[in-house]
Amino acid sequence: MDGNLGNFLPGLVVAAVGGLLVAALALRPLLRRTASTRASWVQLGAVGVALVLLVPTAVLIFDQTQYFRARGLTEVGSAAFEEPPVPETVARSFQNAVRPGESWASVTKLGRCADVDLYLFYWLAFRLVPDPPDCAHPDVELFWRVAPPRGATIVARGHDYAVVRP
Amino acid sequence: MRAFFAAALTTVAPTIVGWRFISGSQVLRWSLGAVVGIVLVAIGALMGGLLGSPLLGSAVVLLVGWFIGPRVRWDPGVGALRPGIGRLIIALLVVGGALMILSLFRPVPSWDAWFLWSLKAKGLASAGSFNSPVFRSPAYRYSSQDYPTLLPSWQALAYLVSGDLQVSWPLQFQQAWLWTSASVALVSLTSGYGVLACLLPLAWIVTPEVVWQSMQGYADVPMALMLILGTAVLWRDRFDPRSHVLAGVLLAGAALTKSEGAPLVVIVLACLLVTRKPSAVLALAPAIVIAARLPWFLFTQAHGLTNEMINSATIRSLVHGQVPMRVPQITLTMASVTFSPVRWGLLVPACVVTAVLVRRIDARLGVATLLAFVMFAAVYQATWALQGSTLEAFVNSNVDRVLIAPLGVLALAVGLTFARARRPIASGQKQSVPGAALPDERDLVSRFDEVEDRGIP
Repeated sequence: MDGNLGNFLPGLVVAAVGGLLVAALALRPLLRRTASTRASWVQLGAVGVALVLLVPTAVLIFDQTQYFRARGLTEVGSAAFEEPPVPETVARSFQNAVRPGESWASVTKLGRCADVDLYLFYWLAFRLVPDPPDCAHPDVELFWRVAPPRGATIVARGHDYAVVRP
Repeated sequence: MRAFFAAALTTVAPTIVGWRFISGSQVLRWSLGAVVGIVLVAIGALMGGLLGSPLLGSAVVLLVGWFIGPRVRWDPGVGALRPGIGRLIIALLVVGGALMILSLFRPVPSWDAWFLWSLKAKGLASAGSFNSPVFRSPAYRYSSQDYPTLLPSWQALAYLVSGDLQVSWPLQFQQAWLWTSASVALVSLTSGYGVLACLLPLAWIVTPEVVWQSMQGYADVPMALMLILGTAVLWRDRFDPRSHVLAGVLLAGAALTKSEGAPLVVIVLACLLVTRKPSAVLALAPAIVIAARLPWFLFTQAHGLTNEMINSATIRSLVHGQVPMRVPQITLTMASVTFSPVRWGLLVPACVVTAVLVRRIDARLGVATLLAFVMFAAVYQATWALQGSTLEAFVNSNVDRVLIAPLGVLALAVGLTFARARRPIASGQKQSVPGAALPDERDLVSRFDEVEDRGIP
């Protein structure tokens, strides 16, 4: 969550000021009634800080939502504030090519069903349910940033990708 | 349009049924009732999935719940909301409303959501049963096919009603609904025990970590919410069969949501129910949990679905000292995360300082907190030994999420020391508040509660 926090810092600081307002409004009646002991001050402080941080957290969720929308992601997101493994047009093209009941596989420069931490493979597996992956004998393959083998039947292709029936 | 119907039907319908299980203030009835209803409808979908129809299963359970609810209705005896709490409830509803609006524009967002949980929801929805390849084929073995499936079962209902596997925002709406209901329920329930009793649980549920994770599609927050609410119900009324039924349903939800849910539920039940005078009522909640958990366990055993992360060989090698113990490093990493203000605000320091100032912590929940931390440290040790990856990197990759539930129990353990006397036991005798001779701080708190009580009709 806090990996790219620096990018959002100015907005989060403004949101924290808003959070301060929320905390003051929400806790004012309790401050009058309960702040009579050290223990109650400590607890009210913990609630106050959590409420102050609540607004920046909501802003961060808003930013994440905008991030998905900007990339046209309506079915599945991407790893925290990272680009999706393939653009939405490529994923849709592959989804359209796989017929019900057919198996599929993804191919990258590392090989079939292989990717840096298998991000693409797992991401596509979610999108293509109920069509199962089959890394040994797939019916359809997505070649991402690698050329398909000669003689393969290409059913769709575009910049950086080809959808192939072996 | 069908997606809106799916989102509404899978949240509002269980809320209406759950409302019938609770009595007392309307705020508590609707909020706690919503969580109870969600657990029921999801258990129905899970059982229905095992038998071939999640929709039918959930409909039957809702129907049965509609008639049984009033017969087992739990009265928490907390009356109307206390002064000042209303504003907190409004703040929670505003935040929850904002999350629900955002959910309309969000897909299934994060790694584990598409890697594990919502993948299974799609698998269940597409096949109409757990016979889907997602649960049975070796091709999906990476998704830990034996993991409990309460959350995917609930999500599958949204896919089934919408009729579109490529529309996933209703799943986010479900999670926003759950967080909102549970947060209102936790504050209205614990504030009924005493205004100060709700502050630390509130500080837990609105921390950045809980709110952020509640919208990432992971199962950690749903599991923790059910665990904490079940614990709070059972803590209040350990001698009322109706509270045992309600707590049993909520804890069954926790045990069916994540793998670590079951051991955490066992810890909580053991800590709250152990007594020198056993009675039949004490078996109610464990029986409900076992009855709900058993069918999925049998399904995984029948189909040979095992996670194989922790097995007898791993445990043997740990016991025989063949793997170096890394408990100090694990403890340090866990401690550093729990004190991170970006994730948890001042929750843990506040719990520690408060416990020191009032010189008390609820003994049963304190032990439960300790055992929960020990359990996670042991799991980290075992999985690290098995995986062989760098310990710190491995722990840091998920410790923030897995500690959500234990920190919730800690917040209850300290917060509930400010609760007034528990409910009368069967003989009419009052069960004492922890600590007969109150330290100064607690004395003042009790006097405040008495004044508050007189001000409330």
